[in-house]
Amino acid sequence: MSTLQDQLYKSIDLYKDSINENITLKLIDIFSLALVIIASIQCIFMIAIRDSYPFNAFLAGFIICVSQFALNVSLRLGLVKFGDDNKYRGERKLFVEYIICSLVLHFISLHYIN
Amino acid sequence: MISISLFKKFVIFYSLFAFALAKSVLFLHDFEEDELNNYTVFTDYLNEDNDYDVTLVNIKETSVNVLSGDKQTNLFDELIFAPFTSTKIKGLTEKNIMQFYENGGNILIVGSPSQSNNNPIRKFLNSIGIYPSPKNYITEDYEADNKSALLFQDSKLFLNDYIFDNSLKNKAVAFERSSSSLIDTNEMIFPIIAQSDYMKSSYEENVWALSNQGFLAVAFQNLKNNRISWIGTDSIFKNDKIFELDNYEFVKSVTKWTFQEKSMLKVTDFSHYQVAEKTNHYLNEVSYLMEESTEEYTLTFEEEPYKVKDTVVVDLYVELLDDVDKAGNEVYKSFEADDIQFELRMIDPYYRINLSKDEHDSTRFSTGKFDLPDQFGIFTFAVKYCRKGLSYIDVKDIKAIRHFAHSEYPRSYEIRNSWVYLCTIGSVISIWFVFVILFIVTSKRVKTQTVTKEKKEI
Repeated sequence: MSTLQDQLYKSIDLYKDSINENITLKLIDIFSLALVIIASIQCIFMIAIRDSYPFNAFLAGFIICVSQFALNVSLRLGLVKFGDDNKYRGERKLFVEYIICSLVLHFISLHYIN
Repeated sequence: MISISLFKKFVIFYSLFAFALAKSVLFLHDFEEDELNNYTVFTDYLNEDNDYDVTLVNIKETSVNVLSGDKQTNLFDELIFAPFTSTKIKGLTEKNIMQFYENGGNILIVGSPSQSNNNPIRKFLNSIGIYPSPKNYITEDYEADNKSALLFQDSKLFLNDYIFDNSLKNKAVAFERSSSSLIDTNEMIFPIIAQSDYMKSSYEENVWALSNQGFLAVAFQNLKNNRISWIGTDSIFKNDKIFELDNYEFVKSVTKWTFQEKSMLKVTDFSHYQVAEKTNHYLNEVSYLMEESTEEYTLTFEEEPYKVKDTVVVDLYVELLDDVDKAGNEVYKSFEADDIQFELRMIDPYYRINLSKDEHDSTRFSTGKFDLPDQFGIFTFAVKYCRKGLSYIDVKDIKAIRHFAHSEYPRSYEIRNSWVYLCTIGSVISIWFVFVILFIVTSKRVKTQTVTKEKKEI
């Protein structure tokens, strides 16, 4: 029986291994972390000034972080291979879809903030 | 044919009234032969000082008709009732009197302890909430030697300066053998003279009004500003008493007030407009720098419909009618008040602003600049001002206030708060751009690896 701590260390090691093995995953994770930080900065700013005005600008800023994060996760899921799963998913197609979705998201956000 | 000739008669009949400059006054009485001679000063005042067209009618001799056939028009402008001892007036019921009053006529009623109990005028007064004491009830002053002679010197007893001006507190009026009345709680009833603490209106053991309960002169004004006044005694109208103390002035003031020749507020204009700002850029000739100056200009609703948060000014121009001279010219004076209130409402009032008087224009009362509420809809701009003794002001203007058009909101880059959010969006997009480049640069190797692996297996 392994303790919870052991399991935790084990999973962290596994994660480290996986991102060291695949540099694109590392990139996606760094980007996602940056998004989380940016979103929390906006929330803290809004709470600090105690004013939600202009709310549409806040929503645009916050939602672009959340949605970009979701797109990153979907890209990451498409790239990771689990165990013996060697099915060809078409990484190139996946990446093009990711870029198009992101561009649409950026357009909507910039439009919404004004 | 008959109807056309009748119509012609009507037209001629009414045009006579329309072009008659002098007010027509009907003086109704049921005096015995010589008794009317006691009133010559008063009737001369009406006839000569004011140039009214006075008709004296004794109700015992002729029947009275104050209304036109369809009851929608009055045949006389004003009515004066002397105290009646008879109980019926031919052709005149309390309904007719009420109709005359509602058609725009004004009524001056002279009371007396000898007035009969059951006459149309008493019923009419009761219906508007004035209850004069019954026949034989006399108001007595228990401080005086002669109990039935009432002397009003105390300025506290004169209750309305707009009807009888006693603002200097130096006037005195003497009544003799007077009746008193009780009044309803109706706000449209304005007492003029109250009983002092030591006065009592009674007959034998029965008391009608004790001390402050009773009033010796009462006025009434309906929402159309038609006026009625009731004075408890006929003594001050009689020649032998009219010049005593300030009686004559009292009679004149009450008559003028009743005939709408005094204390009438005339609204000459009620307007509102938007105050907008314009910024001008100009070159400073000393420092050669571009400078800004803001300039205010006004826009009426017709030029530019209001939208929410616009700056608006509401003006009310009011004059106070002080007198009408013999020739019929109206004499106005400036009206002093700091309690006229403007109301902006859409079902509920959104603003109530006291109007302040302009220093330069004595007729102008203004709200000053204020911002419209952040609420669009159909708003009513209204001023309602009702004060005892003055005619009522009730003016309103219904206007729509529109919301911002989508292009009229401030852009996000004009709001400093949103700079933070703009920066975050900018940073997300730039990080994404860097990420995409790095992804493309790094992923080639990965792809080739996977592809080769797959090939091997196949």
